Amino acid sequence: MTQAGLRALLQRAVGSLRAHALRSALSILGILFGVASITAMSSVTEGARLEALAQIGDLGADTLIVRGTVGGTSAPRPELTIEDVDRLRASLPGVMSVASLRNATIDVPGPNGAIPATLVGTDEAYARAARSTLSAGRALAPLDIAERKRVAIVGAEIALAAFPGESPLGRRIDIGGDVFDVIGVLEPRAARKSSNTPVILGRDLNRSIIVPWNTLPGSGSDLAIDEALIRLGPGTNPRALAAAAKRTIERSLGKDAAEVVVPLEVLKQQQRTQSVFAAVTGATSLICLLVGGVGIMNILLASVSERIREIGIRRAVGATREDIAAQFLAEGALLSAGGGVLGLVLGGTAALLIQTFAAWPIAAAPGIVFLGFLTSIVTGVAAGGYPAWKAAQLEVMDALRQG
Amino acid sequence: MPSSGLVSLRDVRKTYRKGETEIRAVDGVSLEIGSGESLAIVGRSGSGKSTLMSLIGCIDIPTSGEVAFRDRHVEAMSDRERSRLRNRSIGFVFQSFHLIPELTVEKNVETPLLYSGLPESGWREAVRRALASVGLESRATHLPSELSGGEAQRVAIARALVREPELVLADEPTGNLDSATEAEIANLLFSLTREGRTLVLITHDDSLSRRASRRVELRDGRLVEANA
Repeated sequence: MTQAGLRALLQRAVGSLRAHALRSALSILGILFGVASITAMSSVTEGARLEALAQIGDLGADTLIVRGTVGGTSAPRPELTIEDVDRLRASLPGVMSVASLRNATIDVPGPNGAIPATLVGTDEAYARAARSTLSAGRALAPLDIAERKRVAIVGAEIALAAFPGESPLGRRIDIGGDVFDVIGVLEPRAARKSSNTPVILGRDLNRSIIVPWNTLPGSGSDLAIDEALIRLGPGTNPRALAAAAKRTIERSLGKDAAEVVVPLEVLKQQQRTQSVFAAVTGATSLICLLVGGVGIMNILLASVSERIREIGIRRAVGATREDIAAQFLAEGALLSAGGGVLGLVLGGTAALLIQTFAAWPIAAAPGIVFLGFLTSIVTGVAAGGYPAWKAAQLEVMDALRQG
Repeated sequence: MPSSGLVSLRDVRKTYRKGETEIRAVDGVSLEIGSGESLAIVGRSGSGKSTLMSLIGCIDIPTSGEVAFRDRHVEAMSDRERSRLRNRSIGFVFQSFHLIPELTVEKNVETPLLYSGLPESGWREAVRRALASVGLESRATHLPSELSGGEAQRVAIARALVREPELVLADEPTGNLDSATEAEIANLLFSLTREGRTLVLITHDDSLSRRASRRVELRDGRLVEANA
């Protein structure tokens, strides 16, 4: 078909769809919602996937986290202490660094009001274990821990908010009523997309303040810590070392006293959950598209029977069966493409609303969206197929008499 | 078959099945239609006139017998070839005008051009010429619902002429018109033969059929020569 012929075909299709605007609009709803849900779903899962990748990049796939299990209903459990960290250091082969951590969330005062921050009480091993790098000043030194010095290393965002327009080095910062000297500033990290992602894995270093662990009140005894952060050496097996770390802790504290989180495994688990979610949503969307296709077929069938006489006229003046079929196929394709475009817009809007109000990260997944859009057009053409065939089979004289 | 003839039917039969019974709509018709003549086919309703028209107009093919258009065998043609032939060589005018109600006058006249394969650049001029030949240029942008019966039929004639066909086939062209308009449409149709076109009229209107250069009568699917 020539380009002019194709344009004329589409113009005719647009014209006849506009003649029944409301009916056309209703018929594309199925396609619209199908494509919208594919778009929204894929934006959310893609966002989650990128977020997960960002986290693993933040923390490193070669990291383990050992946490004392929170006492349940039974008697208070033995707590994870700094001594366990020493045991881990001694017993695990191929470990690069083990840092002990106490965590807290606080607000620090700033010139423009309180600044929420994650307080990380740790030791000199942290910089290596968490791969944090400094843009200015120095990291924690063994002496800071030994002497319980009130010194702090602030994250990039905290530095900016608490000391706008000046270097925080040598300044003082109020942490829970105690005054700390700022000795270092962390290099900014690529910003996380959402603020409320559960911090199973990493923490947002941009909003963190790092201090010697023993300057923070612990949740138990003086030696208690919340977790140990382990960075593995190259060529080690995270799973095997996780099991070894668990055994080490259990030997001193008893069975089930600690859990060992392997971030890589957590991410894989998250992705498995997401892929189930994606499959369910995908199937629902496909059903939507199918129903949408049936809707379009219905409309086109009605259109064929309404326009029998027109079909007869066009055939009499020289339209071939293919010309007639092409016209209804074009209408089907236009309806579904229209539904597809509106679906993309609706789905994109829904994804943005989810990002704004639920604070989930979103990201465009062009492949999936394109696939959904393509599916919608294929659906429309397929749905147009039977009506088109029916229209093409009409006998000219019969069709003319029906008018 | 004589090559001077435009359309030639030889022993043409067309039968339809309606359940168990076989209906012989056209039953052994032989007919030569010469180039530039005006032929009236008369007959009562049910005599097979519409079927004969669909055979002459290359809309349908016979059950048996031969139909030739300019010595080309129509019964051997594919649907596509017959569509092309209709588009290029035959213009249809119907009793109930058969304009497409959603399209303007000029778009209706343009319809045959859509399927002509001719470049779009010449369409506008062809439409204008066809509308001028029926005196309706001023109505180009009107919808069929805004036209009188006579105007609607003139638009239909313009549509039939837009491809400048050799044959114009008119099925009861004045059947839906008042007598004043009837004469006007008849004049318009018969003037076509002066341009060398062939006119085939299917009608039971005596006054119309008498103006034709030749008249044949169809009775129960068979042809009876009827002299004017």
